[in-house]
Amino acid sequence: MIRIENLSKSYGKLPVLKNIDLDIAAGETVAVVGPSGTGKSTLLRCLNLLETPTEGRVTIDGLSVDACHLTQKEIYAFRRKSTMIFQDFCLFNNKTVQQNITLAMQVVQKINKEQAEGEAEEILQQIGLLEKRNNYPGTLSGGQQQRVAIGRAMVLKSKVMLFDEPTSALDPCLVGEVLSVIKSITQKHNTTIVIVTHEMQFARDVADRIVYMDEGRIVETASPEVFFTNPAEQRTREFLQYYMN
Amino acid sequence: MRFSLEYAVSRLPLILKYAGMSMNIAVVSMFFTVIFSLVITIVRYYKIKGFHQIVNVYIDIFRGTPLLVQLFFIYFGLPQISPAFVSMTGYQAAIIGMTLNAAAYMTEDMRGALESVPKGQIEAGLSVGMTNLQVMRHIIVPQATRVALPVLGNEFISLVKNSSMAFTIGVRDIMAEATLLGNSSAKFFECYLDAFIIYFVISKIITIFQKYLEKKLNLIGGGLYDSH
Repeated sequence: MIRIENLSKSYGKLPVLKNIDLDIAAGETVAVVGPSGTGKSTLLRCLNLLETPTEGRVTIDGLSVDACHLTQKEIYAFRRKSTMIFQDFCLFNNKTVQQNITLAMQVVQKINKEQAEGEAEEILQQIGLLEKRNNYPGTLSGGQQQRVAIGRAMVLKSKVMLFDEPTSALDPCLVGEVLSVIKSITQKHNTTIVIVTHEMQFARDVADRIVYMDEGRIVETASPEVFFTNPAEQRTREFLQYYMN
Repeated sequence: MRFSLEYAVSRLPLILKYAGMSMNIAVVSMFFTVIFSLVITIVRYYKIKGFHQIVNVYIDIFRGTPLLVQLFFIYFGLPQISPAFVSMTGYQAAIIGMTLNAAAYMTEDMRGALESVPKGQIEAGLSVGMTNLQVMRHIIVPQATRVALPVLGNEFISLVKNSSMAFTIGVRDIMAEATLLGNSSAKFFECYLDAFIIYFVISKIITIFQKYLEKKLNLIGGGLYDSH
C-alpha cells in the first residue's frame, strides 16, 4: 500500500531524513518510534507532502510521486490518498464539530449536505461525541478534540491514515479515550495505519510492525514481539531500556 | 465669560447639515480602502513577484508622511505635473488621498489577521484534500475576518476624523462649515465646540455599533476565542 524509496529530506544543509526505504502492506499498522528529533514526524509529513522530500520516491495505493519533480496537481491528488491526525488536533475553529467532519466531504468529495451529515452522524457515534455535534472546538477537552480530528479523517474513508503523535499534547488522563478510538480503527483491518508515538505499550498492543528510527535513519524494523523482547540492534536496546522505565 | 450657549445651540443644526459630506467622504474612502487593502494584502501574502516590492515602497511612503501633505500633493501638486488632474475636484482628491493613506495602514491589519489563523489548521485543511484556495475560503478568511473586524471599525473612526482635513482642499464638510461660521461671527469657540460634539457623537455611535457587532459575532462563533 505504501512504498517509500530512498527518501531524504534536509532543511538547508541539515539532513533530517537519510535514505529511508520502507514498504507497508495494505491493512498493516506500523508504529514508528524513536527518540525526539529523529525525523519520525518529518517522515510522516512527507507521506502526504505537507513536507516536500528533497529526494526519493513515495507510492501510496498505486500513485507514485518523485520528490524531484512535483506539480501542484500531483500534490493535491497524492494528498487525497491519505489523511493525517496531528499532535495538536488542528480542528477548524470556525466550524462546529459536525462541520469539521463534513467540510472535506462537501468541498473535496462533493458529497451533498444530507448525505455528508448522515455519514458524520455515524462517525460521531463511533467516537462517542454525537451530543457535542453542534459545539465549537474551543469548548471541548483535548481528548474530545482529538477524537473529532480522528473522525474528520475517518469519514473520508481513505485507505491510509497517518497519526503524528496523537496523544502527546494530551493530559495523561485523556490519553486512554483517544487510544481506544485509534485501536478500534486498527481492529477493522481495512485501513493502513502509520502511527508515530511515544506510547510504547500502545504500540505493542496495536502495531503489526515497529519501526525504530534514530538520527534520520531506520535502525530496526521488527514485529512488536521481537522488538520489545529481543531487539537486534544495540541502539534499540538502549532506547527501550530508557523508555520502558 | 463671553461664551454664548444659545449661539452654539443655534449653529449646531447648521453645521450638522454638513455631517453628511464628512460621512460621505469617510464611507466612500472606507469602501475603496477595504478593496484596495485586500488586493495589496493578497499581493503581499502570496509574495507576488514584482508587485510585492512596489507595494512595499508605496506603504513605506504613505506611512512615512502626513496625510495633510499627501492631500496637498494630490490636489495642488499633481495638476501642475499632468493636465489629466486639472479637473480633479477637492472631493475626489480627498477620496484618493484618504484611501491611499488608510490602505497603507489597513493592509498591515489584514495581514496580521490572516497570519493569526494557526498554521496547523491550514495544514489540516490540506491534509483532508482541500486546495490552497479552498483552505483560504473556508478556514482562513472566516477566522481572519473576525479578527480584522474590530480593527476595521477603528480604521473607519480614523477616516471619519481624518475627513476633517478635506476642508483644507476646499471640501465643504463639518470642519469647513464650522470655520466659515466662526469667521463670520468671530464666535470660534461656539462653532468649533459644535464640530467637537458632532465628531465625538459620530465616533461614539460607531464604537457602540462595533461593540454590538463583535458581541454578535462571538455568539455565532460560540467559543472561538475560548481557551481551555
